[in-house]
Amino acid sequence: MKFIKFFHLDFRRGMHTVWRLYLCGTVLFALLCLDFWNRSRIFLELYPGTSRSLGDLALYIFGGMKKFIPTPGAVFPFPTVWLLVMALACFSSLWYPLEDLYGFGKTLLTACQSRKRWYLAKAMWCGVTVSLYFALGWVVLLLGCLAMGGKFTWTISPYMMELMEITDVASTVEEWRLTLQLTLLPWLVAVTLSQLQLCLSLWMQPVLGWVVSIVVLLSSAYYASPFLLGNYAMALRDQQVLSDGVIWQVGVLYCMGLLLPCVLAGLISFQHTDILGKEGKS
Amino acid sequence: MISKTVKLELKKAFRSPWFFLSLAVLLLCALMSTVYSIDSYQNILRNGFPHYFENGKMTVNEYYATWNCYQKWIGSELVSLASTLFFTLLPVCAVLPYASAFHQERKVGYLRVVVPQCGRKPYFFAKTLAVFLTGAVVVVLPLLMNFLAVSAFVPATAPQVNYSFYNYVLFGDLWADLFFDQPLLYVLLYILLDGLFGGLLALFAFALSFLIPNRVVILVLPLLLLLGLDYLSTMAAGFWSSTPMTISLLDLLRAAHDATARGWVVALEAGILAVFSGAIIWLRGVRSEVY
Repeated sequence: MKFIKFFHLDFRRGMHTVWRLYLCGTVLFALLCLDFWNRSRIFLELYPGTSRSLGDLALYIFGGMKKFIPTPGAVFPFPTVWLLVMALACFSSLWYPLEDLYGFGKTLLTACQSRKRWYLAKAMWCGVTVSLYFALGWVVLLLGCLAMGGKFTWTISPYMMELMEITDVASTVEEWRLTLQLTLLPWLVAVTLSQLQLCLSLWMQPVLGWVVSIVVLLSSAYYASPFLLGNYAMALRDQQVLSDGVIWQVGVLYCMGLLLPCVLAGLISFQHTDILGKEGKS
Repeated sequence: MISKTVKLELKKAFRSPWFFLSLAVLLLCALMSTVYSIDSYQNILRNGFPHYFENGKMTVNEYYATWNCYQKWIGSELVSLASTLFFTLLPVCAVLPYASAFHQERKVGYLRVVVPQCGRKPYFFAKTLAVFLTGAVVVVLPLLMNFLAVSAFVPATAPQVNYSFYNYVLFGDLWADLFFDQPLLYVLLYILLDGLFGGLLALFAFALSFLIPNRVVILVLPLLLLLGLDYLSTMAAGFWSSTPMTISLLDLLRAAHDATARGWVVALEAGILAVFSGAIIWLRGVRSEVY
């Protein structure tokens, strides 16, 4: 059986399991648009002559949070919006691969006798599922921007400094060029985490893989460190915004550097996994 | 028969590897928060405000009321990553030990063997009790350990109402009066409240296993719903900025909040969780046929 046939089958069967989650994702992105429209109203009155833009909306959702400095009496501002979007993205690809392995996939594996193709098809499915989640999100954002009469530009308006409660910045808001940080990086980080989850699910419960993703994301929100992957998915942690912020090119390399070993480790591990013995423990 | 079934279920629940794993995760978070709190207190003693000390002993300190174990235990400490992780992972760790056991037992056919022998009511009563207790114990033990460890190093000076800017217990908060009159009782009540919600979240996941065929979704959904509720809480604050009230369980389970935590909101959310879970377990479990 060819790889493409494997993937086609996974795509059809997998989509059947995640369509409800896509629906939830659509509602979430629509709510975020509504929320942004409401929060930005007061700032538009304070900054006459400015208007909303697609970049503003994207920054509200994928911006993450400013650097947190723990001091006595401070409260860690839980990055709900960003965490919810990223957690849902990681969740979208969580259960289908293992569910397939314990069901129809076992028959398929026996019939085609290629574990490599089976695993690669699942890895690709995870990537495509997360990508479709983000694509759907962007469609909703574009429609939301259109509905609120926003400009279709990536420029960030000055009022976003106040809306996102940013105080110390490395460069002025007019100089920020965050297109890739808002579009490519959140998606790439989510795809990388989904591959990590897939690889981990061969050794432990898929739920634990998701918990690892949540811990990585929360730790990234807490520590503005280039070693924590989640920082690259937050545009507010970019070096244009934060003086000791992260560099997006490093983020792309980091993602690639983690993604490929994850796929490889999963592939090698799956070759030696006792799939019949694993089912009872799931 | 019922006591035998309860005993069996409790034995299975508290010997499950997932119980120990969940407990270990939350204990680790609690331990990290303990280290952070003790270290930050020791740091004040070592480096801060030398004019407060005379011959190594604190003689005067206007912030004395803010440096106490009632504000440095994990429930009231809002600064460290460990405390954030503890309350974010709490919903997953509460449901992981035993909430999906019923799903597995139904899947492998164990239910068809055990229910005819012990009866439906005893089986579901024992299962509900075991699920609730594992969820509660896994939350209560780390919180107790943390409070005991912190209070061994940080003094138990009484909190003062004029420092609400530092202690984040605001006027109108749940049991706010107790915090200033009987702080130890306040802490114990919050530990019990968190245990109650740990149990209720586990029961919620147990109830979900009647409705959702996927185990992963059953285990993850409580946390996702809580994150959603947290977002709705901040969104509502955006629409009605004059209302400084939180409806997020991720906030309400903490003993200190930067938004008002009303007692009726806590009771309402506990009630919704209990009624939903109870109704589903009763209607889809106790009153339905296993075959």
